[in-house]
Amino acid sequence: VPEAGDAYTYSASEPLGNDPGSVAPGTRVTVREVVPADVQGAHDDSEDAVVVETEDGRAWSVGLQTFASDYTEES
Amino acid sequence: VTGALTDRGADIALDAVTGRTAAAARTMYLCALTADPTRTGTMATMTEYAATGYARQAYTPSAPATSGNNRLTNNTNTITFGPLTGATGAVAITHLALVSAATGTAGDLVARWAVDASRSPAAGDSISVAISGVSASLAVTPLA
Repeated sequence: VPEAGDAYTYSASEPLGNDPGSVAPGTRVTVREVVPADVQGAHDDSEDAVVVETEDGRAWSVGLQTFASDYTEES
Repeated sequence: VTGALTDRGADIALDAVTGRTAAAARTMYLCALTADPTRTGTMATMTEYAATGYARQAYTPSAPATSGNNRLTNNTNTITFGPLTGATGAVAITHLALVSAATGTAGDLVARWAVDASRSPAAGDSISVAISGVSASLAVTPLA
């Protein structure tokens, strides 16, 4: 389970999202927070979310299951 | 975009100016909203956009500077919401708000803005706010 401050890499094969503003594979992120499903300020699914952010402070949320498949913890 | 302090934001500013209470430095976050939170709105009553990919964005303010009869501060960083992978294209972002917490409903809603043109992001879209795109100001009216 990811924890705040953990470092990961976006490791899916395709960019995340549409251009402009997509996130490239290999982008390093830090876990800002794991957000329970019923907390305002992130996604709207029933699943808990992981909020990740880049070094320049850009943040986005991702469901826990997707996070497990698309993000790799840095050693 | 057109913005204003909320009553809470004005109270914090006035309390700091008069020395009634000290305002500690803290990280503030920009939220995307689907309606005007109004001047008396709170983090508990505002209607925040929600979709997978959405998160509140850290707001980095400039030092205040003169702008006409105002003193003004604005964002020094490009602010990007998304990629909004769970967006449906059916929900419009109409307003922005500055709040004191990265998630949740506890904290201060201190300023609000109406966006120039509402946006209804499709799946995977990102929404960006340019540097200096959102500003907050206080009037420094000349004495009569």
